[in-house]
Amino acid sequence: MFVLLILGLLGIVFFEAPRLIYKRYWKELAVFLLLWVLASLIAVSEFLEIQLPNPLAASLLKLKR
Amino acid sequence: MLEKGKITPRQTGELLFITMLASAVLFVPNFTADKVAQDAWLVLLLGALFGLIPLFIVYRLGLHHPEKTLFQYAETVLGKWPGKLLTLTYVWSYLRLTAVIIREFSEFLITSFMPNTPLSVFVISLAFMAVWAVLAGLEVIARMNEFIILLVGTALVIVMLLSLSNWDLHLLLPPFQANPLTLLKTAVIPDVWKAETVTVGILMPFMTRPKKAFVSGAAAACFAGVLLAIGIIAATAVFSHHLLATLQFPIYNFVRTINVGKFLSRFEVLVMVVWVTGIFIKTSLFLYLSSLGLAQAAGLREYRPVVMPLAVICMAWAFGVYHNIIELTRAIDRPQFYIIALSLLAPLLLLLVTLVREKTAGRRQAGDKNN
Repeated sequence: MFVLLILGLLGIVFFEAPRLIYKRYWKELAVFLLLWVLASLIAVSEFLEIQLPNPLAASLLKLKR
Repeated sequence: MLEKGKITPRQTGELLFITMLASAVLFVPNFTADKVAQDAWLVLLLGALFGLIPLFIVYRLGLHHPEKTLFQYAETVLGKWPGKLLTLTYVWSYLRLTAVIIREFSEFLITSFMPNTPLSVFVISLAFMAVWAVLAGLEVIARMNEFIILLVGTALVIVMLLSLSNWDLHLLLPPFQANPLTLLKTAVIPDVWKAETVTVGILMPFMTRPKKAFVSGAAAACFAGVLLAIGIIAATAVFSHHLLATLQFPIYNFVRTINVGKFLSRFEVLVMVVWVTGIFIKTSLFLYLSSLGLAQAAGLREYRPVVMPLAVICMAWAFGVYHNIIELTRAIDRPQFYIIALSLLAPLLLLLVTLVREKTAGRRQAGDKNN
């Protein structure tokens, strides 16, 4: 399953990046890669059940009176 | 402009209607019945009226800043960096909402239809469909919704009509027993009315006639409110509020009781149609809005590159946001202050600053003329 996750994440880059390079949209490419790294970190840590500081958990804690 | 498509006022209203209806139809009856007993239907009508306030604020803002989305005029009103910060907060809140919606969707399908299927199947398939729709653009989502709203509308009307024989309206008596303060407090909770009304501020520049934004948004809120109120009246009249408060998905259970002439039965599939299609549109719309917001804050030439990473984040959050359905229902039945802040206070601040700036700028111009 972990292999599938990594393949899926790499698939996103192969789907999106060549088009951006071809169009010479460097800024878009930079934002995309930055966001992709962030998303991969979140997804992989979720998969491996590593606790990241989660903004959702923080907002949930406030809800518990 | 990042989005070239245009939508009509009617399509805008329909988008709002479906986003308001889709998640409320399953989760709202439960906690409203828990808090205000048989007056639960009143909460939804009040909630619809509450929704008109942020809608009006956002509409006024849109008139002051034509051809700009909320994310763009936040920067002109508040200044570059505070505006970007506000936009990113909106993006974060839309992403969070998307994650919660994806999880609600999957939990409902698992709990009531496919208990042996793993969570990831629903999460991944819904996110995949949403990405596809978002890449196609706003106009595609709006047109798809025009078809879906027919399905949803007919399904709900059929369900209500067929259940009429099961109704016991005495269960709604005595009405208006709830404490007015509790009633108001409960009416604020469903985040149905708030996050969705701000959406108008982002959709307005893409409308063919932006001046009709308020009318279509208000119509959507009222229709959704009335339809949900009728749904809750029906569910209360069948189950009584005692039972309603203990059921996980009251409307779903209520539809299961329909059995006409022993051959028209098992109508819960219709509820699933409403839920799945409505949630699909809602997820696509919110993913679209967060992508658009991020692209506009970063000053990109197209929003396409950010869609898939954002969808991956949503998926990961959907897995981690709640451990199980009990935690989910506990979390959504209390007021969430940051949503109120983002949907009411932030637009209000923007509107006040805009008005003050226009006043002072106008005076300066008049002064120039006098000199």
